[in-house]
Amino acid sequence: MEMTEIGKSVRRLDYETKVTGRAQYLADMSVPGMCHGKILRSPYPHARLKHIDASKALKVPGVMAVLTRDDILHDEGIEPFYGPVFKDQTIVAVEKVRHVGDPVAAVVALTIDAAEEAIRLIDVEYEELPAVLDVHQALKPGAILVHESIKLPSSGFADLAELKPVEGTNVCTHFRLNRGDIDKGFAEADHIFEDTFTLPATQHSFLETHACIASVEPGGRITVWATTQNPFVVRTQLANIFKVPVSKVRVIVPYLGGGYGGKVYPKVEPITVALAQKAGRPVRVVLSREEVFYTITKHAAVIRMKTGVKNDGTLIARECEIHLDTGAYAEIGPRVAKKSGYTAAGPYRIPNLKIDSYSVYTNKPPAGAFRGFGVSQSAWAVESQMDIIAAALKMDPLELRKQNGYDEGDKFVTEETLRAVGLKECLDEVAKSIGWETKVQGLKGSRVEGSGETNVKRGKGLACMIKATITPSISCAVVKLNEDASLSIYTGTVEMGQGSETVLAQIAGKELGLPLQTIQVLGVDTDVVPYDLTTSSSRSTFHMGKAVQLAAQDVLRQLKQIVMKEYGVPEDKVTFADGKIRLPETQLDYAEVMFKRFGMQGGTLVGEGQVKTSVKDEYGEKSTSAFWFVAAGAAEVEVDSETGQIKLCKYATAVDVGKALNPLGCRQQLSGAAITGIGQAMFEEIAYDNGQLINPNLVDYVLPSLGDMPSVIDPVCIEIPHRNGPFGAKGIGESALIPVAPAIANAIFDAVGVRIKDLPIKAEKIFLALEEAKARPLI
Amino acid sequence: MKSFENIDVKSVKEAVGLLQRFHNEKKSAAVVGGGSELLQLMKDRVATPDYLINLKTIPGLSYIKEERSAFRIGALTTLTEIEEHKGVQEKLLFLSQAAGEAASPQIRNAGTIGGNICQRPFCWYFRSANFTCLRKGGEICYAVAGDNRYHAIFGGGPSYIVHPSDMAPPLVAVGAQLKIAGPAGEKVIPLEKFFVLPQVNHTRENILGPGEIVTEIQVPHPKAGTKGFYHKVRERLAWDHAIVSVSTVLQTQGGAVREGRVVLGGVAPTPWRVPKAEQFLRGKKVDENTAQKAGEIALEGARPMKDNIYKVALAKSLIQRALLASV
Repeated sequence: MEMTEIGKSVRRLDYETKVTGRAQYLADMSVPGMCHGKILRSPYPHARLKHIDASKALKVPGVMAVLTRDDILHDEGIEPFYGPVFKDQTIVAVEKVRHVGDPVAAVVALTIDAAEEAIRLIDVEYEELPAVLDVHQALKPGAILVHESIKLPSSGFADLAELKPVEGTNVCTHFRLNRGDIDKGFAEADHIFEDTFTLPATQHSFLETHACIASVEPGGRITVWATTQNPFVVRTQLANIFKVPVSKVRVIVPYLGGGYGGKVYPKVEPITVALAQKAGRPVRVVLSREEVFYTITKHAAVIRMKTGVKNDGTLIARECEIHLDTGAYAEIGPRVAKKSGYTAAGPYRIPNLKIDSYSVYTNKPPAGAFRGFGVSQSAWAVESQMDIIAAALKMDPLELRKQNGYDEGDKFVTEETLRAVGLKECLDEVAKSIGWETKVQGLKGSRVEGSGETNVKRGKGLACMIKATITPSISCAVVKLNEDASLSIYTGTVEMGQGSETVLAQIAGKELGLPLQTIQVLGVDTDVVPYDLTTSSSRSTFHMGKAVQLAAQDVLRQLKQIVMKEYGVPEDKVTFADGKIRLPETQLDYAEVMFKRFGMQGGTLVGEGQVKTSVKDEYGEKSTSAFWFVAAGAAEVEVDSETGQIKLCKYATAVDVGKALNPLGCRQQLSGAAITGIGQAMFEEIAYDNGQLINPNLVDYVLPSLGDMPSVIDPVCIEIPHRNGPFGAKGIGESALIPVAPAIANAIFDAVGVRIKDLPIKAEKIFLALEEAKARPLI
Repeated sequence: MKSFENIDVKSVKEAVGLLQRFHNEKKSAAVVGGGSELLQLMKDRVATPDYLINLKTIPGLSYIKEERSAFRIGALTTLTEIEEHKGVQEKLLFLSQAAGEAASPQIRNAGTIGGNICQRPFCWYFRSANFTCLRKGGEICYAVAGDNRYHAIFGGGPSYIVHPSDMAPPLVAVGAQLKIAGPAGEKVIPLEKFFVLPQVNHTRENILGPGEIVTEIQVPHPKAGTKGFYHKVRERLAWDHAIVSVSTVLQTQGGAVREGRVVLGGVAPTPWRVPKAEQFLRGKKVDENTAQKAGEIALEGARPMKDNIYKVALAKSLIQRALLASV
């Protein structure tokens, strides 16, 4: 068996299980005695619940129980209000429904058919209310309120403590960032640019829809099998809702069929537990694709950005207002707004800033975390405007970025020092990949003609970004060295396709000198694995990877102690290499040492590792992020100047990964993020008609197909090691997605000279912009 | 999905008899071929039949017979079979291409030609449970005031759906005939006459009456000097309906058009022929200018809605390109 290496590509450990279809996902599972749950959802965006009558539903053969507001309001064992930031959600609607698809009631039955039939027989009397349909309407003085009052939790996230709903308005939170002197900054500017950019709500589009199996034992012990990215957060929330200690809640997570932020915080778990409790039977709820559209979305945004620039291209001042449509419930919207605000200056030194970022309630399905977490919104504006500035100043967009971009040791907008930020390396790599030089010639007038038809124009564009990871946070890991020197790894990191199993095994294998084949990464079960905050924010390799590394080192330390004691060797004479313990005269393998320690073949050595990041780093300096992601992307497009049809020819993405532990895995993840980004940039949009979703299915909601992908996606790993990451590694899950949309918009501008400020960029928008440009008199 | 009873029938006659019986008894029944369309309608509760009449158990309804002057294609022939048929590829390549660009490979393997031309609209209001639209027996066509980016620019009113079939426009362009079995026996009609505009009937897309079933499509072999072309523009390259598709079949002689048909898809509640453009082309040599002019003539009278003006420009451009590629 080969020794585990770092920096050498390995095939993912779950490869065979998944490609042969043997991996178990939640919807494949059942437990003895299990019933089926279905949810009745609101057909209105905003209505008062006047009356609910479930008597007909209860008569359907096979129906075990119907859950309505009466069950959650009059049960002392249930705290009806919950939510990760504000307690504005309820298991089923209480006084009002606030969006189409808001759960109103739910049924448990022996069969899915009976549950479906019963749902249709629940009589609900609504009093329709005027609905708040977008952020403009929500912010008007005297607007209809989505929430008349909002319950705050007794304790919440430290990083969101200062953010509160603005009473009597639909403002969920308002994050402010001020730096320098904004008026002075604009006064010193030679040019001022002001633009408004918009982007729509979209879907995460994971293959696996949300699902849950819940079982409640007499005495209140709750077990849930959940499709969640953060089992420990779900555990806490369920413990709060059902008023039990966390030890009485067990959350088990099978392989997750994709998450992308859409499976953080409670989703379908509270209602499933309530159903199981009421029915006295285990219950499974599997959401349909349409229901996923009602459960969570990405924030739509309107971003007004005003930037002051000197003649030489130096960015000197920026005022920015970001309005994020958080839908009917806050979910994690307040943090999304905060992260959007933090990155409204982009990866650039801008001394004078006035940033106002709002999460705003509307009568739409809740928006929450989405791969890129607020930065894919802000970067759309930042990076589009960079090219607007470059064009106006007749500068090379690459040079403009490099001139203003962060260098090692620069201060971020929070005044903390940036370390390990390979921004310019990323920019140079993507520029090289798409042949940027020929584009600069293009600017001088010799635009590259598209092959084939003469009305096809070719263009190139790029974009970059900086993003934080959730800080402070905690990851704990346990590894067990078994008597045969094989290793079991216990972590709360959820394998959702990102390859965490493989990379965690690599880290432990490298540290202990064990072959990958001898290592097993266990599935997530909160009864078994130690605490981890979340599998999101691109944090697992950095945090959990480090925790696993520390746990492995803990085992080495114990082995050393045993050897010192049992073989009487002084500490400085014990060394480790390739899975062996080297002594002056001889070498021992782990199994021998274990045998010596326990006197027979048996026993376990348990190693533990803990990583905790804080709002201050090890230098005592403020730390908004335990590490910073930087990335760049570049696109080459062909645009039909007659019809606006776009062909994405090539996309290059470069990410500072710190250290590529599994280069193949890194490249796959970068490509995957780029592909998601292409969907967001050119295809996807949830369409609404007066608060009704009109495309809540994958026929009408257009995800790109393989044929729409560029023939080349070039993922490049830049390696600027981070001092605190395992072997220097940083997180990479989100980075590559963020620059995609502006890079494509910039390439389209380069090709045909029209600027699209509203995502997604479809042929129709380009066509209309071209028509408008034709109609405009030439200056 | 509502519960239903499935009835496997052995002959067209039996199917017709059952349909008629259920109609007389005021019970709802639907015929099912490949099922790819009906199943989704049932899941969405747009269709809630009490009885499914399964045509797949009828022997001999799936075939492509190449006869002296025409192909005869059985209604249960799958789109994949049409796409891959050597004779069709040889004589009617554009029809094979159209079949290959419909839906997805899985759907083409199951979906039949009969079902394809009998599809219900893919209008997002029609398919949504939260809208009881005109076509479902309601009062209004929500597309009028709503989001109508995918709706009709021709032939709309009072309903503004577009016909979703990828096969119908090229079949109309080539002059296909349709064989329909019904209580009164069999009849053969031009496919063009099969579809109805909403001003005639806004709850149906075709003329099929109670007890009637499409059994065969007859596609004439093109005359000498004929060239066909099919092009479909959509938002994504697989499994997507046309924003606009164009099918042209032109017969030229000595460089000039003798006769030809130009049929648009995705723009109207039926496959949309543009007779004025066809007339204009007659006797003319197709070049950049005539092609452009034909495109302009074809789109005269288009009535775009607030969100679909793009279809007009796209259709013009596509006609121009199709004509240039057809000679």
